[in-house]
Amino acid sequence: MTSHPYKELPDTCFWRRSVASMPPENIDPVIKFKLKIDPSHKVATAGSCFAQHIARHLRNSGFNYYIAENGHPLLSQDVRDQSHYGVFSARYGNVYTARQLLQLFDRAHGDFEPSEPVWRLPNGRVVDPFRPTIEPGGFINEGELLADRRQHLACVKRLFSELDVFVFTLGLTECWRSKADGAVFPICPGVEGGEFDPSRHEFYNQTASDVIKDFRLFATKLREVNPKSEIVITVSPVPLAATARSGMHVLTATTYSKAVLRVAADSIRTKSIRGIHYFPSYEIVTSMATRGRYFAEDLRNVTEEGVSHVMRVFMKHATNSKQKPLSKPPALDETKSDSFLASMQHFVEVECDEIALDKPGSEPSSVPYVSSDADKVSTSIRVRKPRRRR
Amino acid sequence: MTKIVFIGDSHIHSIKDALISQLHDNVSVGDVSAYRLRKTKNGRQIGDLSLDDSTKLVGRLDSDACVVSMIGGNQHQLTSLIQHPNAFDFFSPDDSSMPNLASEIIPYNQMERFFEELLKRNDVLRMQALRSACRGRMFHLCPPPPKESAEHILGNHETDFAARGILDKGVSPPRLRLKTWLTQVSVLSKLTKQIGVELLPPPPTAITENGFLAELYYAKDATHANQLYGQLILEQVSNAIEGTSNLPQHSANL
Repeated sequence: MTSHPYKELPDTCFWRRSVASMPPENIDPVIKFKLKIDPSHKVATAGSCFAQHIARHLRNSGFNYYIAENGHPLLSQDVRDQSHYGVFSARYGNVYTARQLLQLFDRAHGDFEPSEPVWRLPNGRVVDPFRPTIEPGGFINEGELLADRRQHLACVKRLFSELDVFVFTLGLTECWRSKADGAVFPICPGVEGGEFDPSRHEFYNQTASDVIKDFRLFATKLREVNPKSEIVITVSPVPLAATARSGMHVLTATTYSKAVLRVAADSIRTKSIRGIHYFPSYEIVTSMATRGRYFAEDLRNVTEEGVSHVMRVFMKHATNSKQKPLSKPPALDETKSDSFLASMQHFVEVECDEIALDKPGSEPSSVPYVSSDADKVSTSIRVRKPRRRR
Repeated sequence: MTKIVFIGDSHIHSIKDALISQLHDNVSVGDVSAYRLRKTKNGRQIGDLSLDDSTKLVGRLDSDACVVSMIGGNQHQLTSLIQHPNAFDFFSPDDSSMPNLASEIIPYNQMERFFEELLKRNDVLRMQALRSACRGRMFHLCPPPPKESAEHILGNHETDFAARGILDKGVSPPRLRLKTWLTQVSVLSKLTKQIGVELLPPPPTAITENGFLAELYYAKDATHANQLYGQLILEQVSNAIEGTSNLPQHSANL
């Protein structure tokens, strides 16, 4: 028998030994993860829909989950939850692309002020083009929106300067942007407010080099304001709800998008920008070993079982706690499936902007994506001001 | 003659005082009664009837009788009377003035949901209990608007507000207090409609041109209105029921 390089490789290099023959819930694709998070570290999150799962688990796992924008203490947690405080570390909503993240940083530091006006709803209320679903029902007027945005960006600025670990989930390459200044929106204008105007808005599909360049620039800027910060990158396993590329199947578009993001996530790390760590949540969820069981009925959302697997692996490698063998999560109690499904449905409907691209009943029109008005109108009740004494 | 039964919390004293004063003045006051819901305050029981007993009383009324709720009403005062340590303000569709942008701005939606939560927790449940028992019309009276004078408030505040540190923290700006009240009234309007209760605004003559409670109608505390206000309410309810401007023939049942 001759010797060859594969003879010396560990089991983790072999599909049969570390994937095909493993119980799916025990698959652990992390070989080396340099970052160790301890309970004193302020961990912040941003990203696509999947990042919300990470945020939720971090909150519930004894991490010092850092929320820089948490709503006024007068309000109950229920009220704040409805307005999406705490879903991420600040109230920015879904940040799907590296470009959006970079621009968020620049806006928070006063280096970029997009020219896009506020988006109007049919009921006269307004939404923020850069976080259009953050305030259910919209803001009552432009003044309120701008005041809230000013507060929000101040919190984002503080967040970036004070966090210890920033976990970011890359979600999409497809985006819509302003022709005037390149400002990127989380959702196509016209879907959750405003109007799509082809003379002002355009589609852009980021390449791997775009994502790498944007993220490196973001990381460089983050280090300027917060030299000690560490970054964890993940790629969202959630497929595209829709592609804007009419000549391409959404499955093909999803594959392109995820491939770009995955390549970029590997290539972002350079010797000149230290402290960027890739965590393979994408691989854990999409692995063929699970035969798709980590996806919900809609084949988009990730099940709690899948998220738990990701977080078990994350906890094992990214914390200083004593390592524990991966254990199978408790089976889902069938009697609680309604509440489980209800919570998932709530999650999808409330938190994921992208799902609005394909709401039941929406029909194509001259606007690339348009939801029915009925979906986005919230009635405002006004009371007559009491008559004044003459 | 329509029988009118007022049931409520502390704001009902303006009605009780009005009825008593009319008796003293030898005014015939027909078939009006007013009951304060029983509760324990500072270790002692106050009030006339429990909610259960009130519901039974309402259930015995004829369908042409009228129930007027003065339940709750001070949530806006608890929210904004005392200056919050994290000063806040908000834009309001009922007030075009610019909020204080040096404060934390709470989006109006959140203020609405805040009041909806507060009102549903207790007041609306109690109103619903009465509404279920009531065969005739049922009204709910808006709480009186806030008092503009911080001087009056600081000189006449209730013990609850002293315990909450009103003297150290100070009184919130009048405009904020007025907007907070308007928000509560707006939410009340929606919630009372949902349960089939007609909402009555404060008597217009008791309101200043700026929208506050006129000083003539101040009770000697930070939040309540006096017997003159109660008389206006009696007149207003009478008008709402019978479409006349005259007081009904009342009889006190205190």
